[in-house]
Amino acid sequence: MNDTELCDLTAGQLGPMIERREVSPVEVVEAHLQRIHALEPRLNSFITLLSDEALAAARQAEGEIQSNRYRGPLHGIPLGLKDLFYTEGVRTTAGVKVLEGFVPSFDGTVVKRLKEAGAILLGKLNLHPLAYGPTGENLDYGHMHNPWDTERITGGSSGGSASATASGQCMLALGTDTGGSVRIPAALCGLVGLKPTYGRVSRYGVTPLAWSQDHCGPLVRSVEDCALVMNVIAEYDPNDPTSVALPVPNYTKALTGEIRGLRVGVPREFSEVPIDGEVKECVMKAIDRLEALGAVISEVSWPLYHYSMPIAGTIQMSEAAAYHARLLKEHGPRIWAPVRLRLEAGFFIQAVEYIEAQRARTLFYQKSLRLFDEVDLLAGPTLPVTAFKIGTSKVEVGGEEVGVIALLTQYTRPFNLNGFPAITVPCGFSKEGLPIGLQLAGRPFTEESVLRAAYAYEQSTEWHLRRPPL
Amino acid sequence: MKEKFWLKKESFLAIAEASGVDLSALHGEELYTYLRGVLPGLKRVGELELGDLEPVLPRLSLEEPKR
Repeated sequence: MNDTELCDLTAGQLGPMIERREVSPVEVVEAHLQRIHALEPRLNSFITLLSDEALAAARQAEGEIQSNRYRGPLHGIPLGLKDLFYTEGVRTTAGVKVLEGFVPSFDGTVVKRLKEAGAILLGKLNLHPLAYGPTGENLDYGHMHNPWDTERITGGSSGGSASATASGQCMLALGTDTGGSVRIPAALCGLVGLKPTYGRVSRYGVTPLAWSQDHCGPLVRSVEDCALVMNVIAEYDPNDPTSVALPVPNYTKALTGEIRGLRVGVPREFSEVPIDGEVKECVMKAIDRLEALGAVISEVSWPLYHYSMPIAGTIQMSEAAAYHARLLKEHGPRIWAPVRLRLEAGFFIQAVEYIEAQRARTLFYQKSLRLFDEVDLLAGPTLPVTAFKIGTSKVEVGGEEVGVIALLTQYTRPFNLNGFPAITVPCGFSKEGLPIGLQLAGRPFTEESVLRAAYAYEQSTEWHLRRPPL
Repeated sequence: MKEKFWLKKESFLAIAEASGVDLSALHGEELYTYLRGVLPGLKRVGELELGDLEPVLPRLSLEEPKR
């Protein structure tokens, strides 16, 4: 197996090879470092590369495995982290130069868990500054580039996580998702991306954007890898005040491929907002495929969907401004203008408006939950468009010109507001060869159902087997 | 007819000053224009009948973080 083939494997494929000692973690890490060096000038996925540390960790893993101390499916698997996960002794910039001197004194909870599972950290990944934007553009550290067409956006904010994983620079990546920041770049780069239920995965040791809507989740190349990562990072954490102490299942066991009788609802409101015709057709075909696999498809109505943007926006802007108030006062002019404007806008929302939005959120949550009286999952597009050119501020969709922030988050943000689990899985490609994603969402703490359906769909197609033409 | 923007320039300047927003080098104009575009859309929250619903509240842990 050559280096490229090694980097194109999934963790689910490579893990057993490492366990059987057919491949050494040192070979794996060396192959990935070579790939990073070859592709980084075109993709700009990384902010900090940890070559020496990764090689040292790989040698340690090799020694452990040779002495029969195999830790599990992620032992020796190369990992990348969005550069807002705290890493002990390694700078954590959140994608802005004004924070490049910040070196955390501890690992965030999920980082600690992944290291304990034997995953090898290759580096810290580029992101939309402060995770506040859905395109993956960044003037401080350079824009991220989509491996399927390097002139196009990766999506964001976890853009480096998506480009690195899609291109084989790393095998697994973690991102954060406040309005879609895992699912958007995952969909635009042809990956699987999961936003778990709010409270399922610890946020401790992660730079916040908006506390009540922030989630951590994996960006990976298969649903199986998604389950493998969730098996490690999902746990109750007393250090995160919103963490929920519910039993954590073995997510891999949910991947049966069996979805007969699963009730899948398609909200009619999803077609009342701008969507590209080619994307819509592709997603409808994916939903037909779910039906062919035995799911029972029905149309559902979710009228409050249209209020998710103003409710979530009010909350996000207020919380983001509150968290970054000091940074803005001390370094405002040094923050990239589009991000600075969005942050400062939060100062102009009144406390009463924030509380009203949180009351409206209670209503939104209740109505969202009621939808699941009729169905087990919701299905629809992850995004209304494919990746567009870097530097675009408005996109024409169905004869309407729409701002990119609202457009990219229109299907993802509602699930940050209600906190329900939602996954994106590749469901096709445009005529231009750009990936399209299917989003599946479930009721709280039903990641198993979400993963089961995503897996059944994935295994009935070959979209996830394609690799970018790099 | 386009609705008049409720945030008067004087109020904008006062809030900006109180919040420590640096308005030098045309940034004030840029921010005011941005707010005109964004804030009106958020007002739709007020259309919802919320009755006696309480806001979403975080469940607080009383434990100290353990590193």
